[in-house]
Amino acid sequence: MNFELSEDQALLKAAVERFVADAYGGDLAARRAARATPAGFSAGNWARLADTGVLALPVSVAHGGLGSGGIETMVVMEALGRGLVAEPVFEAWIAAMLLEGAGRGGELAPLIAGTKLVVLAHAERAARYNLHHVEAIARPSRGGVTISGIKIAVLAGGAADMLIVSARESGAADGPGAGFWLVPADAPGVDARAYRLADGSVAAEISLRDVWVPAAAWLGGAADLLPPVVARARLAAAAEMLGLMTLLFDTTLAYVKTRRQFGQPLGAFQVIQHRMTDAYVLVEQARSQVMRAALADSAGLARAAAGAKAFVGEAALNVAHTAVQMHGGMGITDELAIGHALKRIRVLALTFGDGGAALDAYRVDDRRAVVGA
Amino acid sequence: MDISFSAADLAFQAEVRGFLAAELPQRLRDGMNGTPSVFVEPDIGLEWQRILHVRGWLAYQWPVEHGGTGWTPVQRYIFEKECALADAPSLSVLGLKLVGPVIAHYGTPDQKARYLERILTGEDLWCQGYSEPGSGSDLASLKTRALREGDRYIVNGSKVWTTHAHYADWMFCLARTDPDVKPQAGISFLLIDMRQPGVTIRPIIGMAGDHEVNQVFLDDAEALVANRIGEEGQGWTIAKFLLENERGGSCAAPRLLAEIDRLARQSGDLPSGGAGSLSADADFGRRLARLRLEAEALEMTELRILGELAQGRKPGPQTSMVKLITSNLRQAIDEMVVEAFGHDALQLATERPLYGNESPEPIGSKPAQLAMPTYLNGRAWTIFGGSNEVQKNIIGKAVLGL
Repeated sequence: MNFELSEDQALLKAAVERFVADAYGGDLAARRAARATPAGFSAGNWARLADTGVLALPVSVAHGGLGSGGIETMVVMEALGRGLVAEPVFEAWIAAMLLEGAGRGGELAPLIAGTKLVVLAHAERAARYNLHHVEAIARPSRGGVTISGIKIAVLAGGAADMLIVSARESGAADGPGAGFWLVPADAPGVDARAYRLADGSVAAEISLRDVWVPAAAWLGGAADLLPPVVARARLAAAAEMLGLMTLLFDTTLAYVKTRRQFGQPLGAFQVIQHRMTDAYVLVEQARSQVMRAALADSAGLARAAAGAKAFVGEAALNVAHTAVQMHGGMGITDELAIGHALKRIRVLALTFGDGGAALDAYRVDDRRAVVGA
Repeated sequence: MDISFSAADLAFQAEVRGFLAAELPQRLRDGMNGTPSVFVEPDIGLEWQRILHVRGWLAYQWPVEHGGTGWTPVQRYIFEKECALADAPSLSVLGLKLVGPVIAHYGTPDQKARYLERILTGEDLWCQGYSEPGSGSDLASLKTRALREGDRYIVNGSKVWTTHAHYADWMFCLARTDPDVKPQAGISFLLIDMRQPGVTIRPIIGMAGDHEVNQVFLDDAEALVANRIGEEGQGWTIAKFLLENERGGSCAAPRLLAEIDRLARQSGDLPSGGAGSLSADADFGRRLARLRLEAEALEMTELRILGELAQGRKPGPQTSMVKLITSNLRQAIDEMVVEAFGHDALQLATERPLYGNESPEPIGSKPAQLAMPTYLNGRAWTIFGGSNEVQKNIIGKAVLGL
């Protein structure tokens, strides 16, 4: 029974916190500058994150990565969340994990070095949050396939060099038969429309019309490749939301102690104290859920991460809304970290399943477990 | 970070499981599961207490010199978890957890000799005289007056919400011995014999028909000065010690998770009103999933506090947080159980007990019969032991510095 970080984990945490302090410390200026770029994040920061090894975190040691697990994922993402960091770290991890899962670990060096950005282009409008629903089609053609379809909400899609595109060779939209292909972002027939999300990041809606890729671009079946990656992505998103929650909570607690109204600090009012207490409990319970997922073994990770994502998503939004309310008029401006954190939480909470979809992912395994018990 | 138990702890866990499998009678498990009130009745509680006493595990919360087991915080957690999962009756906190440690810590050698062993044997049952009609959450405002006359105090006043006063031989009581100092300073901690003419008990019947609590009237009741714990005026300090002793780590989540599992299993056999069972109902399933996530988080929160204890650090007011979460979760589960059983949950049998051969025949099923009284009694969880509002005041002040 020991909740201490190992020496390596503590060093990793310190390195990430140092990065956050250097690159984002002080005020929102650095974040604004990073968001103002066409990519939505800073190339300089990206290179520094590569130097710290953060981009290599989930990649196995054999392929030049850190081979890290859940605890490291939690520690890094919490720190990045707390720092309101703009760089698409876990978005990049997803591609690296998919490629390694597909047996392409040998191609990860430029991703880890931060010189090549690969992102996942999977979501479709009709799928809503069903991760297995794929309508894009891959037809055999000239020793490869041509892919046609529309991919939405491609995170960090505005700056990607390569896309990992899901499409199906056969079967019904939410049945088996879907797979992933590696597609250059500038391949003929790829039309990417970049746009801003609520958190200022740049996503893309990508239309593919008869995009030909060779057979070697095939990565594997979606049913095999996707679940472990989604599990880790959900853990990462939950941990980032936890970091955002601690930022919101600490900022708001400091504010209600100093802001005076009716001749006393806001925090002297019992109604404020109780609301802050509720937020405190949510932060602690969210931390427990993230730790639970971070400590899960590989068999239990998918369910634990889905549950943590659902739980933390709701808790984080609740704390964010409290933070806005406690800050009064200032809370609804774009001038404080509060609003930026709320917008990032919104994006994370609605990625890889909204609350309900994540709950259902948690439940599906849950029912199986109950039947088996 | 590692939340697994050591080999020694796993061996202890196996020992506890073996003991429970061999020594915890089915009748007591049924009694525990068939109890809709917060406390179990002495018929099953005392029997379980005797079995644990024979094994030497009853006073695990006491110092070793008074019969304690010397367990580590992790062992205590394991013991409580295994007992909860085996449906062991909950132990009466009044003697074992509340007044026992107080006497062990503050009592004179005579008082220790006189009272401690009899708590363990079950010869003496205890009740707590804290709350008064005018002093609930604001305990320091209590008015019960104790006037010194020679070797005794003459006590006048009234105590309320006194759990199991109707079974109790003794009451540990906070009374005002000095009205002229600030409220907290004038209180003393007295042991009052319940079997005397000056003590009258009026039952208070709960919404579900259970007789769990009482009002106790003290009219010229006598308490020997020899039965005062600590010094005169030290009562508030002792009451706080008792409270802190209660904060020795907790193990609420395993039982809550087990109850959520049970509801999940039962919902597979309950009708949804449409195709499939209630367990396939999306709304029901998502609500149950939310409760389970909250309970899982609580389990980890309790383990985190246990981790602090295991490192030799004192638990702080996080225990107020555990009380908040536990009581809210408890009530949310009770509500879902009522809703799950539909029309059958509307029955309210007021006969007691609801276990054993004499219990009334349920409409539908035994769990359906228990749903409503459990829910009604359970509204007390967020009130007793410091209401949730008081817990929030404590967290606001002690943790958040507000």
